[in-house]
Amino acid sequence: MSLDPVVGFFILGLFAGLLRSDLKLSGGLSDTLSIYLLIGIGLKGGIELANATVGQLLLPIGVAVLMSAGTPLLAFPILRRFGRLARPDAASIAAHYGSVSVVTFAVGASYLARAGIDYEGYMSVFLVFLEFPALIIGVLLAKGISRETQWRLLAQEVLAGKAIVLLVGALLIGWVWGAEGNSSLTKFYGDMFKGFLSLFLLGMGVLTASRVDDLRRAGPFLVGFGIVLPVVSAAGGVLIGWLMGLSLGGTTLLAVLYASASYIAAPAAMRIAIPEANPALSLGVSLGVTFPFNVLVGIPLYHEMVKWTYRILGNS
Amino acid sequence: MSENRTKLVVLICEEALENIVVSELLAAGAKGYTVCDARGRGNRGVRDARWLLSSNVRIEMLCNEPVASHILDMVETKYSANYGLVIYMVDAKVNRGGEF
Repeated sequence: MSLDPVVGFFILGLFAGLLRSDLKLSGGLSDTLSIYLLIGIGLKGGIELANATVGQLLLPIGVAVLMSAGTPLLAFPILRRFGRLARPDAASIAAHYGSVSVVTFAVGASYLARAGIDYEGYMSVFLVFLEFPALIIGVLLAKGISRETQWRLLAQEVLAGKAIVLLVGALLIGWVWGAEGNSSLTKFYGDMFKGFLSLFLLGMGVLTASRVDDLRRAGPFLVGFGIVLPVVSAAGGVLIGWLMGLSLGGTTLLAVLYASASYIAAPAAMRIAIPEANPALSLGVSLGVTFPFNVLVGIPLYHEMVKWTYRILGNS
Repeated sequence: MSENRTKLVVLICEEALENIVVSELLAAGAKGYTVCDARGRGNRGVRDARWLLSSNVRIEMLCNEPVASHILDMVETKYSANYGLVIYMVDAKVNRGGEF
């Protein structure tokens, strides 16, 4: 079976939601699971970072962050022009797609691990740096540098949000303790990662099913957008990964990151910064279309795109 | 202050608004507030307090009538266009009315 079994749990959740089963993950459990996943990803990256020098990372991170601005800047005019969306809605959706999804990344990493493909350990550092620049671009697209924007509150929400705090914190812990942390913590954060990820995906499936009504409101344009844009962004990620000389696995994960859309950090930040935007549209398309697309079809597709690119262009 | 002029102001709104609005409630003259999670249905659909954005909160505060009216006007004009919210005030019988 080519699908990862954790994806099976996502499909199960989706069916349960569509059948209106009483299955749901409580808010407390979902929060606990997302804390676990963030620490697990950060820790793994940090432990592998202990083998790298900071200098090695500056260029790839700089390039990856700079290029990540491409997604919202591409999405915004498309949404305005062809989707005929109002400025705040287009900017908010653009920010969602520029930012990244930690769980999509985790499913991508799990896919690679299952296929026995290695990737650069510092990919999880990218997660930290790719999450927030697009949110700022989104606000600028909506309002320019406006005084009415609550920048302080937005910065607090984004930079002190649990995603950044836990990823950075766990990266540091992994980096400082390195091999010692590796031996004492990997039983819990490494070996059990897939089990907890499957639980989280079960909840995500139920949640995605509850967004079906939003899709009806969003209309066919946004549904198409939620599938085509990630593929285009992933293609950009493949090229950038290849140019930076990343491994096949690393480039696949970069493509997954560029293709993913945020559905936790971005909605909360956009509600504060662009309250005029309708959250049902942005969350409906990022969670209702792009997340399932990436998990079910996108990740294997991006991996094929990377293999194809490396075969034709050779290693850079 | 006589006790019959104390008002209970109730604001039911999406959770995202809580962080933004509470400092303004205090600035508008409220001396304190109580927050609890809430769920229900309104003209923006069911808000079932499930994980991610669909939860609501209920913010209550006791204050004197001028402050209560000011808070009602302020919240309505500033936030009702973009956020799902309901705000109202009712009379409250409070023994220590002067404290609010």
